[in-house]
This record gives sequence, C-alpha cells and structure tokens, in this order.
Amino acid sequence: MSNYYSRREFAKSLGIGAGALPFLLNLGSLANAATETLKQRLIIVFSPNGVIPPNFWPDEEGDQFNLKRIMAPLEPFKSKLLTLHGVSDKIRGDGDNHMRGMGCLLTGIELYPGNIQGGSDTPAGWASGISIDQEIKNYLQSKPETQTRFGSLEFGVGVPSRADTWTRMVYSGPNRPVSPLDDPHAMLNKLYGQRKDQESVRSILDDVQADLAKLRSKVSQEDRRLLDEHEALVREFEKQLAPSAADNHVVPTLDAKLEDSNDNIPTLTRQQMDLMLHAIQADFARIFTFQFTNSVGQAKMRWLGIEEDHHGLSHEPDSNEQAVEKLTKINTWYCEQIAYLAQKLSDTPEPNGNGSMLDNTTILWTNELGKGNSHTLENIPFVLIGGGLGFRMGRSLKFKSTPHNRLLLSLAHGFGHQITRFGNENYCGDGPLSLT
Amino acid sequence: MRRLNRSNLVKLSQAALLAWMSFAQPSEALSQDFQQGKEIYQTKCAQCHGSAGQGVAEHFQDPLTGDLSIKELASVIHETMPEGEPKSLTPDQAASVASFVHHEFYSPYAQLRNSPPKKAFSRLTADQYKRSVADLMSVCIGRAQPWTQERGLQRVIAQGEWNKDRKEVEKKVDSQLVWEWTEPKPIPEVDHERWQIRWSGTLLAPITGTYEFILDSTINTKFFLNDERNPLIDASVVSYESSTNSATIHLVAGQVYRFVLDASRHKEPKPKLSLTWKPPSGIQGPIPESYLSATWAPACLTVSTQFPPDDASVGYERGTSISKEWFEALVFSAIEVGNQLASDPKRWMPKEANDPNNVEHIKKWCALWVSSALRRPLSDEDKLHYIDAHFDNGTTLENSIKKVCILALTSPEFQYPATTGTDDEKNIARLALAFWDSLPDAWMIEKAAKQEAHTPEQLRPIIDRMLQDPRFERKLLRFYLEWLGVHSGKDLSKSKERFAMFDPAIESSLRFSLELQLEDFTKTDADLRGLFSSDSVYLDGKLSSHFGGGLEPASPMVKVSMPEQRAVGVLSHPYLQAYYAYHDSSSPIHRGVFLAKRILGRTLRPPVDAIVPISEETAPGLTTRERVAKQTSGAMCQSCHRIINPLGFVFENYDAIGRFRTEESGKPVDATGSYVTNSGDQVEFRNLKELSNFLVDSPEVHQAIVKQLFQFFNKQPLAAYGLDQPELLAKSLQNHGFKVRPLMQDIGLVICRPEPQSPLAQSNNPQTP
Repeated sequence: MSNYYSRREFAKSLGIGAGALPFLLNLGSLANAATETLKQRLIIVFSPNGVIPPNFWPDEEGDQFNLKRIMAPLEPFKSKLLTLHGVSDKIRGDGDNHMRGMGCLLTGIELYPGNIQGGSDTPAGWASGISIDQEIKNYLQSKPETQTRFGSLEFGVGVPSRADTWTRMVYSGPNRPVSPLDDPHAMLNKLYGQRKDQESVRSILDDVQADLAKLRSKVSQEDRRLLDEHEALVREFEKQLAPSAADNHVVPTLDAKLEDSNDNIPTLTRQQMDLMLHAIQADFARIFTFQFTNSVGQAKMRWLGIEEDHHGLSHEPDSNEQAVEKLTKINTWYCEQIAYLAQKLSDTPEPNGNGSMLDNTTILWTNELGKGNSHTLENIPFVLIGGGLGFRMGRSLKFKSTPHNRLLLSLAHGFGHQITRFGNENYCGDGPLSLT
Repeated sequence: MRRLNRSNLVKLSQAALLAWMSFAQPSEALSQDFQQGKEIYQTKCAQCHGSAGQGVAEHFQDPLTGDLSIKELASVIHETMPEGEPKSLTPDQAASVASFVHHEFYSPYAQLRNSPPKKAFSRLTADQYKRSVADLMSVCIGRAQPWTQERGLQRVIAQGEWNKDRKEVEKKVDSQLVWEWTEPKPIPEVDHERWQIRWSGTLLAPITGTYEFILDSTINTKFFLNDERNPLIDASVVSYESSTNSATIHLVAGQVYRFVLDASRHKEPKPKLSLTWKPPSGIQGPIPESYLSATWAPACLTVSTQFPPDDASVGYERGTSISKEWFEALVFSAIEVGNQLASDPKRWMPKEANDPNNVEHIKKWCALWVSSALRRPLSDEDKLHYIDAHFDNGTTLENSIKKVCILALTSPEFQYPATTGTDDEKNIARLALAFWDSLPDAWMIEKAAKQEAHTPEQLRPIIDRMLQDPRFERKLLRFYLEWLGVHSGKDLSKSKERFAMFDPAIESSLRFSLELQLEDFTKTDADLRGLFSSDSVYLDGKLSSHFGGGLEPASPMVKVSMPEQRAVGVLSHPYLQAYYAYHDSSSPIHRGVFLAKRILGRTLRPPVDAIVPISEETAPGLTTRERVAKQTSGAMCQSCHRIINPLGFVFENYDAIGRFRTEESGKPVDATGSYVTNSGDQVEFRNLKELSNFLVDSPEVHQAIVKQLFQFFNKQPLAAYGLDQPELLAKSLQNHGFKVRPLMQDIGLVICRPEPQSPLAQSNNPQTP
C-alpha cells in the first residue's frame, strides 16, 4: 500500500466530495490507514478456579512441544502459541488466595486491607493499583495515532451481579474496580446505542454541567469530590460522542434478550465474542478483557453433562479421578471458546492489508489460581496466542517461580510503553520477561 | 403503649451518655487494673501491635480490633500471647491487658469512638433510580389501586363480541389461568360457538429481572401486560392444534403491572388455553395467586438498562461512588425512558388530554414531571431551563420531550437527593427514599412547600401515611430477605444421589413458602419475635410429603403448625437450611456464620486462607459435627470458629435440604451449642428451640436488627446519627412491643433530625484514668 501524502489527499483519492471531508477526517480507522500504524491489540481472557496442571502444561520446553488435553483446541494455532509455565503471583497481604489471585492478577499489587469499612459484612479490599490493561489503554489513548473511541472494552459472561474482590480484575486506579458488562444487549447498546440519540444527548450535556456547578456550590468541600468526578465523567462521555468509524459501520444484531442464567453461558459467550469481534473491526478499542464468571466462579456446565459447580469441583483432591476428569473438561471448554476467538481473528484480514487480525492481536488466557484444590498462586496459567505484541511464538517456556509483575511489564513493552515498574516494584526486579 | 417522642429520645440519649461515661471512666478499683494493663501492653505488646493497636508492618500488620468480650479476649491473650511465650502473663495480668485494649481501641465501640462514621454524600442507587423513574410517570397518570386482601384476577365470561354485543354471563375472582371448554357446556346459557373470556387485574413482580410468559392456546387469545393497547403476546391467529407463544419482559420487584388476558372462541374445535410464567432464575409454572389482584393499574414505566451493581460492602447498597459504567448506564437509561415517553406521549399523559399535539399542554405535563423529579415546585427560571429551552428552535415535539426527559433524569438534583432546598424539602426527600426508595408524592411536596415537614409533630403523620403504602410493605419484605442473606437467591441444587426429590419445583415452592412466612410480618404489625419462635411453616401437599405436616397430596399452600418443636420460626425454614448447606451435607460453618453475622451482628474476619473442607470419604464414620470440629481445631481457626461452630452445631437437626433428623449416619445428632454474649456470659443450648428462646430476649439481637433495618432503609451508617442510636432504637423496639411500624416512626424522626446528637460529638478524646 502506498503512503499518501496527507489525510486530505487520501480522502481525495477516494473521490469523496469536499462537503464530507470534515466529517470523514475524524474517522479513526481512515486516519490510521493513512498513517500506516499497526493496530496492536490485547485481549485478556479470564477463566476461574485454577487448572489441572498435568493436563494443561506441555511437558517439553522450547519450540518442539506437544499440547495436552486442555489446550488441544489450540492445535491449529500452535505456531502462534506461547505457554509460560513458572510465572507466579507473588503478591501477599490481605485477602484469601481467590481474592488476591483475582485482584492482583492484572494489577500486580496488594489489596487494600478491607478498607471499604467493614460493617456487618465482609470488608471488601479492592486492589491498591491500576491494572495493566488500563495502564496500556491510558498509554494508547494519550497518543492521537492510537486513540480509539472507547480505548478498552470489558466483556463478561455470567459475572454475578455483585461488586466485590472476587468479581473484579480490572482497575482504573487504586480502589477503582471496573465492572465487566455481561449482558450482550447492554454491550450492544454501549457500542451503538446512542447513535440516533447522539444529538439529544449532546445538547443536554452542557446543561448537566451547569447544574453540577450549581450543586457544587451548595455542598461541603469533602462532598465535592464526587461531583468533580461526575463532571469529569460528563466530559469524557462527550468525547465518546464524537463521530467515529461506528457511524458507517454495519450494526450487528442480536437475538432476543437471553436471561443471564447459568445454562445460557454458551450462547452468551458466543454473542459476547461476536460483539468483541465487531468492536475490533470497527476499531472501537485496542484493549479488551473477557471475564468468564468470577474468581470462585460457580458455573454448572450442564451442557457438558457436569452437574456440580466449578468451584466446588475444584476443591476435590487429586485422588478423585472423576473430579479431575470433569475439571479437565471444563477447562477444555474454556479453551475451545478461546480457539473460536482466535479462529475468527485469524479468518479476518486487517482492513489496511497488514495480515490477519490475529497477526496484530495477542490473546492472553489466564486464571486466578495455578491449581484449584491447593489454591496455589504459583504457576498461574498464562497462555498467549497471536502476533500482537511481537513476541516469538510457537514455544513452550518454563520459568522458575518468576513474579508475574515481569510479564505485566512485557505486555506494556509490547505496546512500546517502556515502564520499568508495574504494581509492587519489589517484584519487577529484572524488568520485563524476555519473550521476543 | 408508650411512644417515643423527640424529648424522650433526647432523654434516652442522655441516659445512654451517662451509661457510657461511667464505662469511659473506670471506677478506682478498675482503674488500677487499667493502668497495669496499659503498662504491660506498652512493654510487651506494643512493639508488634503498635502503641494504639494500629499494627506494625514488619510484625503484625492488622489493626487490633474485634468484638470479643473482655473475658474472651483475656483468655485469648493468656493462651496465645506474647508470641513465643504464651501463658507467661498471669490470668489477672492478661485480664488487665484485655480491659485496656478493649477500652482503648479493640471494641467496636472504641473503634467508632476513635473514628466516628459520617453520613456519606450519596447519589440514588440503581434500584432507587429505577423505582423513582417508575413513580415519576405515575405523577401524570395516577398510581396503581391499593391491593385488597383478596388475591386472584377478575374473570368475566361473556356471550357475543367484546366491544359489540357483549353480554356478561359470569363474573368471579379466579387465579387459575387455565381454561378448557368441555362437554357438556360448563355454562349452559352461553352459545357454544361464540363466547369470550377475560381475566383482568394486576400482577406484582416479586423480583427484578426478565420474565418469560408462555401462552398455550387453541383459540384467539391476546395477553397484555403493562400496556393495554399493544399485546405482549398476540395469538389471535392460532392453528386448531394447540400452539405455544412466548414473550419476555423486564419487570421491577415490588412494582404492580396491569394484566389482561383476553380470549374469544369463534367455532374453533377443542377450545382451551393456559398461561404460565418463568420468573428470573425460576422455573416455568403457574403464576402464584399471591402475585395477582383484581385491581387496576396504569402503565408503569420500566427501565431495563443494566446498571453496574452498587457497592454493598458495608452490608447495604449505597450510592457513595460513581464510575464511568454508572454514568453511561444513566445516560442510556435516560435515553430509553425518553424514547418510551416521546414515541407515545398519549400513553404517559392523562386521558383527559385534549390534544396531545398541543404544545402548551405537553409542556405543562413535562413541568409536573420535572418538578416531581426535583422534589420541589419549579421556579420560572427552572421552567425556562428544564422545559421551555428545549421546545424552541424548530425541534420536533418528539425530540423536545426526549430532551426534557434526559435532562431531568441525568440532572444532579434528581441524582443527589436532599442536597439542596429547605429543611422541609430535604426531609421529605430523605423519607421517600428511606421508606419507598423513591420520590415524595405531590401531597408531600405540598407539605414541604408549606413548611409543614420539619417538627416531629408534623413529620409523624407524614411518616405514618408512608408506612401504610404498599411500597413500604414491599421494601420491608426485601429487608427480611436481605437480613436472612437470601435476597438474591442462588441455585440450591443438591446431590442427586442423596436428595433425588429436591428438584427445582421443590426449591421454588420452598422459596415461596419462606416469602409467605415473612409476609406475615410485613402485612401486619406482628410481634417480630415470632420470626424466631413461630412453630408454623407454610407447606403444600408436595412439600408436606417431604417435610411433614400431614397434608393431602393435592393441598394448596397453607400454614401448618409443626409438632415437637420442629419448626422454630424462620430459623428452621427448609429454604434457609438448604441455602446454608453444601450440596450433599449440612454446613454448621455457613449456618454459624449466618447466625453470628446476620442475627447477632458480630464481626468475623474472612478466613486467612481458603481451606479445603474435609470430605466424607477421607474421614469415614465421622458425623458432620465431628468433621467440622476436627477441621477447625487449629489455634488460628479457633479465634473465629469458637464463636461460629457452637452456634452452627445447633442446626444439626436439619439436613442439607432442611429436613428434620435425629440421626446422621447411624449416630444420634448432637445439636447442643453455646454462645458467649458480648457482655461475657456463656449461654448453653440443648437445641434450636433453646437458642431461639435466647435470641428473642437478647439485646444484642435487638440492636443488630434495628441497626440493619435502619441501614437497609436509610443507606447510611446508624452510628453517624449518634453512637447511642443502636441502643435507643432497640429500646424503642422493645417499648413498642416489637412491632415494626412504630419503630419505623422513630427511625423516620432520626433520619430527619437536623444534627446528629452524638454524646461523643464533643468528647472525641477517650477518657482514660
């Protein structure tokens, strides 16, 4: 593809009339096509309750390795696969392992000690730092050439409708968990909903700002904090309303609303993944998280003939062969979903001709525990698929109890965000893992 | 009965102050002890725990706080401290340290005193927002008729065509939404081939979520829900064989929806129809009679936009934080409402509207609507800002209405109630949220405008009127479910090998039975102690075959008195017992934690590490009680399990699905237990009945329930209204014969009190000898 002299020239070459120019020039995707930036993306997929290590990790090390049962669905992507055995969540402090496994997974930093003041109920204790996906998102959003409408999108499936340390892994800052959207219709609405109502909303946002200012003068200094945040949210929303590629993108359709129930998890997963693919194609965001249920997730995979809940099963001892078999099936099912996502990305060419979408996307599949019944935070499952971050793929790597903060650093570096510390700096010792 | 008025409240508050002062200044004999405790603490404990119990990073990080009594604390100190040299302190020395620590920073009281909680500046919670929006619409079109005691829909059978030559031949209240025209004719005077049947009334949604309605019919049938013009299910064309149609709709818990099922026969063979539902996370079945009433309701506007869950980490939902997801949901929901309103204004404006295209007329209704949202009359400036400004500039009528709506719903004044305005306006805003989770109505707004809503004498009748409203009754039911910890429900499915009969239908009936039992305490002002002591339970024929009660198999749900102390209020309710149990066995730990935290109001720390329960296979021959005792015998575990286990064991007469048992794996059940009160007295129980006798008289339980009631209703910490409030309100509950509504009167007055009258407000420095 030739380099166009300017965006204006590029638009001209498409034969678009001058009247449409100001509008078109705001389109993120066209702007990018002109500047030839690679659209790097990261998708973090979470599934809960640890894995069955012997059925998960390849025995061999290096580029000659065999996939075990759980990862067998990823066979077609073996050359684009990187398994990282021996990377461990070293963060200690408050909370049980399920809590820390979740809250420190992407933040790499301790949980606050039940600081959301414990009354008659369990104190919450959110993570005390930002998560890596949000860190990278902020980095991408700070540069015009990588800015997108949402920056990041947080998907979920079957996430219980309660906010606590077990249900949140994404943090926009210390004490600021981000809730995943687990209703495909709500996600569709977020992506495309306000298109026809943009004008009505835009016209009242100034009024809302004015009202906030009025109210602000009537409350105490301390209470203003919330109103200031409110004001910032209004401004941020205003930016989202700016015209974007969505305006000439085909809006996906969804079947009638499904109940957010256990048995609908397979269908909801498919719907959410398809929406994510749409969002990728429309370049709404570069960073995605996909959260299956939650830490201590209790999905009952009746569709696999498994009646017991996942977390209950994960407590069974290794000697319980039936449980091991069921857990292997459960984890294989999660892997199949990831394989579906990878396949779709691999089948979709980048609009600017830079290979397939999988070539520019890295999927990171992870978990809050290494193994369910021991609740260990050693050997946390970290499996990467795709070429988004420029790592050398097609390998099975084995580390020796290496802090996962270093992997989080590698993700940032993959995007060119050269931070030297992330989360608890005591675990960032030798810098990013060398994966290239 | 003596009612607490404001001056009584003040007196009580002074009494509590004196009581506290005497506690704050130990007597001389005690003070020697206290001084000794202080010295020992500073020399032997402070280096790990910090001089004020705040913790020391490299030793013991956690602050030294908890709710053990001084006696229990002394025993823990004696047994385990100092680290490495347990038992090096004499019991007396340990006791003096305990008394110092307890007073200075350990006890819940000391914690509150050292950092008194404050009222938090809050927005509407998602639930309050949705209820407020629903009530907003009723400002223009009226509210649902209050329900009578009678349940069921009005069923009319008529000859001829509904809107033409209809002749009613039968009219009755009926709750069976099944109809089959059989031979011989069920109603002789009706022409075989041309008749109509219509059920009409209202439906109460028990929980929030998506409901599915399933219509099976061989004749022309339409089902209308919440909209009398557009059917939710239109089965006007059916094949002569039975055809099934279904549709889903989002409903909000506690809201009442207009319900009409209309069918007519015109020569179709084998006429029959049935309507069933599938509530959120429930199973398909007939709509229970208790959710149907032969009354009328206008359309109810329902917000279906999903909001992120509100923070509930302190035990009740509150709107003290905001996020991007919240703001987006707010805007999307405002658009959703705006679209509903603007696309069909006639539906949301009064019938007497002359011409829906008359702009002035529509502006008038919009003004009423905005005024209701802001909870006050509008000034001329407001009218310009919220209404007129959006009707000019050649905007279409539809867009104008939409903009007014979006602006009102996203306006900070609507979102942050009781922030501006007069005291009267703030009071009615707070009360409406507390008792209805919604907006004050026009009557209250008028009271506030006339400045008749600030003295206790003025507020009492206002509160009393609110407590008669069905919205209060439903909020009270939600409270009870939340208090028992079962509000959101969960999948209770049990081991198929052991409890084959425990199917989803049984689970759903048990839930219904629990709700009926709780409704005995919402519909009337029954003595609350009955929650712990009643010997009755609601059962139907099917439940009775498993849980006793001796009912006929086809019996509908009725209240049954159970023999031999098998039923002990809601505590022994099978739904609750099944809820706090594993899928194959009972769980004394879950049940003990439930009792300690929810009923007794104790604070328990989460376990340090997740522990794998000992499975039955690895410990054959042990009873559940023995397994749990073995598993939690470690010293670390015991700091909490010494409270949890002896409470949980008392429930051992109930298995994993709540059936009464006297044996487990061939061994007799041991359901004895004990509890150390927060004043240090040890109480022993031989069974659940004895535990229940203790609970009904326990001041701890009374304080725990008033605190939870207050915080659930008002969504603010009770201690922010004065550290003595739990005690005062518990007294109020006792003085009012354990009736909820009189207690709520007092709670309403506390909510409206201008300044917190905390006895400690002036004395922030703890008095030490």
